[in-house]
Amino acid sequence: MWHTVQKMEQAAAIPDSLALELRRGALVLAALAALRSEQYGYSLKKFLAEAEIHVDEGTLYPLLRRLESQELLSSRWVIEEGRPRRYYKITNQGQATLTALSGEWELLSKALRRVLK
Amino acid sequence: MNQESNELIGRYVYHVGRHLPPERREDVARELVSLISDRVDDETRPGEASDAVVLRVLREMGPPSAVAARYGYERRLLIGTNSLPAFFKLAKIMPVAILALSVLSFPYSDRFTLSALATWLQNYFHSVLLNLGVLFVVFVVLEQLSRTHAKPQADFDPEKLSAPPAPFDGGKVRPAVLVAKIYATVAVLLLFNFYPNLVGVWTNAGVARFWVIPLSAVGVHVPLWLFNVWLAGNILLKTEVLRQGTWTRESRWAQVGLAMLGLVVFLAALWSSHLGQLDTDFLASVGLSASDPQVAALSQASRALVLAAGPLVLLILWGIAKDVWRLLSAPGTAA
Repeated sequence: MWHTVQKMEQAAAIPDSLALELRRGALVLAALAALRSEQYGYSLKKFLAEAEIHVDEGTLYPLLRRLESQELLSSRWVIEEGRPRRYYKITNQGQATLTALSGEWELLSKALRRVLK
Repeated sequence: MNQESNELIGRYVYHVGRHLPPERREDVARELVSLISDRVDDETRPGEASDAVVLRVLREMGPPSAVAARYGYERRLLIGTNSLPAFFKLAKIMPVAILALSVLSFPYSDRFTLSALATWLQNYFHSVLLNLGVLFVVFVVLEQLSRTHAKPQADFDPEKLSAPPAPFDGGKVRPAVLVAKIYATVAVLLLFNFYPNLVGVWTNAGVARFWVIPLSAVGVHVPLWLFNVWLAGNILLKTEVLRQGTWTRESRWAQVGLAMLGLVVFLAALWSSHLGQLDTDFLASVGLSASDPQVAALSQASRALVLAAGPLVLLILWGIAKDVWRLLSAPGTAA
């Protein structure tokens, strides 16, 4: 119990900006991976939330736009349930970037595990 | 969702758009509406009113300026997206306005030389750079001041957001007509400034025939700079309408203002033409006497101008009345 409280206190002590910075890089990887199958913004948010990656719309939607402008994602508008929805999907270039980033992530996480021991 | 909920979302999205560059607004607005609607559907519990859910979602999303800032346009800029359109508009207008004023000092007299032209151009570009610099500094300072005095996010209440202005039917824009008018106005500007002797009217006095030049000592007296301001204003307005592809409230009011300025220019011209009665002081100032046959000719030309003025003044007044009526009868004007 005490250990859990201590952990929570430590998490609360992390400045918001540092936590955000740490998550931001990982979020690109998560979004690219999740968009190997086509999804619209809100369904992607929920998909990520189910995987314990919580992200607010204000971060996710601009990120999707940025990735699209970098041609890592493509999008199309679909009228569904009476409302337009923007569906995003990874491009070939995005797939190549995802593969490279995944490799980078593996190396980094192994290295960090060694450092954090 | 009910009508009130949709109206609230529309207001919120409109205010987000005001902080974004115009070319991004529609796309971001569409995406935000889609997102908010999905969230509201997802978070509405059975029996819960959708208005309350919409309010909660909008409060969680935060003030429209913060949402717009997250789209990444504000953080990179010294001038915020709120004032950026105004800055660019002024930055575009300024070189043309300075050019219109510089035309007054253009060396088109007998002493015109290439080096005088080069000096004039150099002065023009110096003025443009200096004024753009001042404009930039003013906007950066205003931006910093507005950020310092920005309201804390806790104050944000979606219900207090004002409704977007009602769509304004400013009348059909005919690009071909506008382009023709712009070219015609530029031609008039060039004619009166560089080749004033080509513009005039022939008038007969017995066997004598005279060429009366407007804006000259013996013609209609209107300060050239005032005439230039009016013409340059018309060119700028029509170019802007052409660029926007629509008449907005602002451009229609500008049109009314320019038409009134045109009326002032025209009435000043009539007044200074001595209303058909060339007085002796005026004649002496141009080296003529009352018995001179030229005087009869000038007097006739002046009278003809006065006679022609009536319908022209009515035409200008009709144009002003039409524009003012259109503006005042448009929906949302009283709000």
